[in-house]
Amino acid sequence: MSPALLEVTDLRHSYQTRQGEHTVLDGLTFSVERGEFVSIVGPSGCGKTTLLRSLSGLLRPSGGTVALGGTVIDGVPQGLAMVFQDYRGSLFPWRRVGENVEFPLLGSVPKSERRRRTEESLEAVGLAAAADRYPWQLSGGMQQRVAIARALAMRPELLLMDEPFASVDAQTRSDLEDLLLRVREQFDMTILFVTHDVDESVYLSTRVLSLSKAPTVQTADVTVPLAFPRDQITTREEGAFVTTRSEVARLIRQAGPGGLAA
Amino acid sequence: MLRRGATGVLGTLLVWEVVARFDLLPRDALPPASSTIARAAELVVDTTFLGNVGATLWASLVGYLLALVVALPLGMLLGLSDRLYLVSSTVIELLRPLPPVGLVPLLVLVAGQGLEMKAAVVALGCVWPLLINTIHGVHATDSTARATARSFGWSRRQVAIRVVWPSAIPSVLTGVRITVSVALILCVGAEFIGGSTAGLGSWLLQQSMLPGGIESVCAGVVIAGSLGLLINGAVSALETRFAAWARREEA
Repeated sequence: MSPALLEVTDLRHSYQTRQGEHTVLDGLTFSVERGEFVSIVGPSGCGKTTLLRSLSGLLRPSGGTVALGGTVIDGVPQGLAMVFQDYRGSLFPWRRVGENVEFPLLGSVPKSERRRRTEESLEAVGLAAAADRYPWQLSGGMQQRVAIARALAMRPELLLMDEPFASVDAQTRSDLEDLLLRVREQFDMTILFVTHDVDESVYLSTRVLSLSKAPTVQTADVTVPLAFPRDQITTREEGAFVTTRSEVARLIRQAGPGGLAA
Repeated sequence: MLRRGATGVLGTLLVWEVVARFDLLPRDALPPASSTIARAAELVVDTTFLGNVGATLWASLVGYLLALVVALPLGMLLGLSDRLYLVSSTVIELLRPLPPVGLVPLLVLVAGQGLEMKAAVVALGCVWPLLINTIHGVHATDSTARATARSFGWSRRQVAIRVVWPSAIPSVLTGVRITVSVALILCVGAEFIGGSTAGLGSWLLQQSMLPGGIESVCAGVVIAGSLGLLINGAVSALETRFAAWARREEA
């Protein structure tokens, strides 16, 4: 059997504070298969950001391993793209939208291919006409679409998203959710999506992992029994949506530090 | 905007003319605006005067480039590391208020009265604001921007060149705007105090000792001021070209 795309084994992280050692992640183990859309939900302060930073190689965990495509990572791995919550900070204001999208490809992808991918990615998020504008001339939702287009242009095996829709209004958020599901289909992507919103996690995912408060362990692994394509109104009316949503919410409520309450 | 500015200049000249013509200030301290401007018009085609202006500009340029060569790489280095940032900021705050013109006697001993001494004064005066603004710009680079660039798989060096440096440019240019006009002032001051034989400062000093030379002194000062204005305009153009995104973003 070929290895899972992402394999996280006994991931631990703690850091020193004045009060002594503070454990954020206390032995997380899970894997993501190719083609899955996995959401990670948990209460605030559950170390979601620490987890994502470890997965993307931006932070070296105190213990455990992260393997991408069977290879244990050490530093920032190839084949991974990240979308941040703070789209304003994540886009480079001195570069136009198109230049932002092709930026990660500089030096590694030939120019004609860069241009092709930039056009295709902007097309996919519906911003082909905005290539020559500056990010700060666009609305928040549009800026986050630029960030998604940039991730698409990198052709990642795995897309990591850190609460990407937490800073936009509700209507924009629904639009972005559906856009994400569309491009996932179009580009055949595997996504690991961190959110604090249970509804969002169930609506988007094929599987939801829930985490406890720090020191964080995994408390549930719930498969979402909903078909694609999903619809903002009808999917949310389905009985399976409602029961899955309640199940995940209950697991989160029970999850104190270190795991499920007895 | 431009019309208001012109109105202001004309008004000032008029007040100056009236003050001088009616002897509200002693005539040998302030010649009338009209004769000062007439003298300035003669000076801008006077080769001796132009040679002196050239010497001052050249010394300022050399000193300024020296300041840039030190401040930009050092600022990058100190701004990139949190630890160095904290250690260096106190030291710089201590060194910064030292008046470079006060060091002229010392510098004359070390570097003579010519180009080297003048350039050293300019460099010493300009390096601190340039350094501080570079450090600040580098250090203030958005942390998400840096994390994003790291997530592209770029090395620290690539992140520094492709992301940190461009995002620091507006702050660096602010430092440049603060220092370019100071460079000229410092150079002229160094020429005065250091007893240089060439340069606008020494020319002004010589003229002031001639009978009726006050008119030439005032004319020279007006020309020096106009030079400063031109240089400022050039820096503003640079800011519009390379840092417009920083100002627009706040709008």
